Amino acid sequence: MSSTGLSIKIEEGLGSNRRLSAFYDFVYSSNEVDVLGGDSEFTGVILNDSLCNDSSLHTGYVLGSYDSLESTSSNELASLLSNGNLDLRSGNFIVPSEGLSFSDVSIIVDFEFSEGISDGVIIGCFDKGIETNAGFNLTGVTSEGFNVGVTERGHLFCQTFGSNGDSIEVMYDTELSRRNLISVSVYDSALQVSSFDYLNDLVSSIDVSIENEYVDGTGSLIFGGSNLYHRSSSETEGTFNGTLNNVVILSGFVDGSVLKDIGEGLLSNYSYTAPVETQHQRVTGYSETITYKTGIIGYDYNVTGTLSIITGREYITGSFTSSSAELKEEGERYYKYYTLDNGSSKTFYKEELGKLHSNSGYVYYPTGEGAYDTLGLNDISESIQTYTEISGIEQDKINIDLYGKTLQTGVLSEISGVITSPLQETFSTFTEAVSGLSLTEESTLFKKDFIYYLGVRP
Amino acid sequence: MNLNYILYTGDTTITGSKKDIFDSNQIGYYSLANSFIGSSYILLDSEGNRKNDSFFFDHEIITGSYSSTVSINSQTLLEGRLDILESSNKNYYSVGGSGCYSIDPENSEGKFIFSEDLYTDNDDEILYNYRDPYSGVVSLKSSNGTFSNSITSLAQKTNTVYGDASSVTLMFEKYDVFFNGQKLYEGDYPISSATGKLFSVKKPDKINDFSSDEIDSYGSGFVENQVNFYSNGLEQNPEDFLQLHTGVYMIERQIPVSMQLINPITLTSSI
Repeated sequence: MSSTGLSIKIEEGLGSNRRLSAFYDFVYSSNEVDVLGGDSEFTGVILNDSLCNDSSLHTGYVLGSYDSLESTSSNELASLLSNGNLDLRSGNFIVPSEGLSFSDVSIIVDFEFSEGISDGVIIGCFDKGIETNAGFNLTGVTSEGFNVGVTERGHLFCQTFGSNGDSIEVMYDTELSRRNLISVSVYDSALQVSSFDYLNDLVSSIDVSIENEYVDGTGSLIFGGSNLYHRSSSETEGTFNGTLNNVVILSGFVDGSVLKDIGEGLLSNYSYTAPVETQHQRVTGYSETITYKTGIIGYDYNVTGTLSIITGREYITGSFTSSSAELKEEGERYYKYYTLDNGSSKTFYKEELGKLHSNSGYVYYPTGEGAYDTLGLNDISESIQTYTEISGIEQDKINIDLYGKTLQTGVLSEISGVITSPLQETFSTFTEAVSGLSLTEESTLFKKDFIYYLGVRP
Repeated sequence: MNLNYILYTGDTTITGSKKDIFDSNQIGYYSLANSFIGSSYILLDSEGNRKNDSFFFDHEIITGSYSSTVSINSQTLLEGRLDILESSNKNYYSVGGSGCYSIDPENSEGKFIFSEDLYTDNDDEILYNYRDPYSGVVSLKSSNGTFSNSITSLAQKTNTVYGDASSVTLMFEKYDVFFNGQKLYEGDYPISSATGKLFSVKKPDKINDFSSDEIDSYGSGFVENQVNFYSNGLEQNPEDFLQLHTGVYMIERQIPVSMQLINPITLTSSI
């Protein structure tokens, strides 16, 4: 439910809120309730909604919150409103008419039965009295207002009084659901009671003939009871077994079909979807690009190998390097190495010698007749250095690089074609802003849930 | 007694539960004023004589072929193919496809076109509902074989057409099944020697379809006026039951509910 929904529907149906006298949604809000009274008599009240033409009027009294203590009254009021509606089983809800006439008013009530249905008054402002004109010495019955309620059978009824006496009209062909939106509209000679079926999109109405002088009055509108009903004789006596979800009071007569639309606002949620920008591309022209043929534009030569060419005669090369040390006895043969470097040839040569110990002083005398003895050699050894020989043949030569051919490809000067490319620009489109009301209120309570068979029952 | 209620439940929101009041349980109205006489479209009976059925439907409700469910005297009819034989001066209707009636929204001026062997008169009661357009699937039952075999055959045929009735159970779950106008329920079939038209019609969405031996039904929420009711397979007029809130304890019939008390004002005067 949203007050925005009601506001929109009031605007659509009536043009402005000028005729919106009172609206109560019974959702507890600390700045929409108060406690009035004094001298140990306090009653919680619900302030008129700011949506109304003059919200300072029609403060509604919640009789169920009456207490001698202000704080208790306040707590009780909060408790009665804790479920987002007003429980009328604890007491009626009374709205002073404050300028509204019972014969020129329209009321929408969104109510819900609490348990089983028992007869009771939903909107009551009916009363009768005796009038005496002393001048003419005349006595007659007077009345004001009407009672609209529900019968034990679950049908709406309307109770009025006129010159022909009491009248009760029952809306027998409309079955009520657990939750219902109904309306009462009154003008000079007729009173219209309507029931709204939002699931079938229907308005069911009865028109009750009235006489203005017997209906007109300016007392209080009593929701849940009446000053005159077979089950109550004062506004403090509750008769209705249920809760109020919403009450809308409009000045003047408004037809039931319009009130149904206004009531739809009570059950709707308002939604607004802002415009959404979407970017698009569009072609603004074309650009042309000349393309050229491709092909062989030359060759590249790269070294692919080398070729060696001998340019001189062969010559021997060689060298020696130190190897290991060996023991040689005197008279044992070994080689002594020499390096040869004559500028063009670098090699070595060796000389085979017999070993003479370095401590011998190189003076020998024969000691016998054998070979060794003849030479006077001693039986001692001494370490000598041995060498490793490296020798080869060299020739003078030159190295020549070998080249291979590689094709080079590229763009030729010859035109092969033209490429046409679209030129684009970005532009934006916007969706329409969407706002509206959707009937998202829970539907279960508006449905029926009992089928009673009228055929032959066993 | 088998009482079958088909309740339109909608969803959890008011918007999602809205239904046109005229979609269900409309009464075909009888009128001789607008017959086919004078029309260039003619229906002939099986004898070749002009047939003059005079039941009308609302153009705003039945807007085309295969979008209605029609019962005559509680027996549900299969809508058939509309055939029109055109000649130089007159056009001759016939109902094909084993159907019992057809709809011609363009030329029949809102008149039901019943098959050549289905005669109607002023005493008949015709109920019709709007439904989403789907043609029914028909299987002609002969005396051969068991009835359950015929049901299986209809399920196979229905599945061939719509692809969602691969078993007999699925067919009964998704389709209303009728035999010679009487609604059937799974496992509760006529004797096998019975012959006639066995057909299936797709059920609407968002419904609670249940059968019970209990006289009254409690607790299942539904949208008022959107209830179809079959007693022993025969469609009943919605006047045969009340659609209420369970909080109503006292239901009495034949009690006057509207009254005006004559209670003149008493004036006394002394002159």
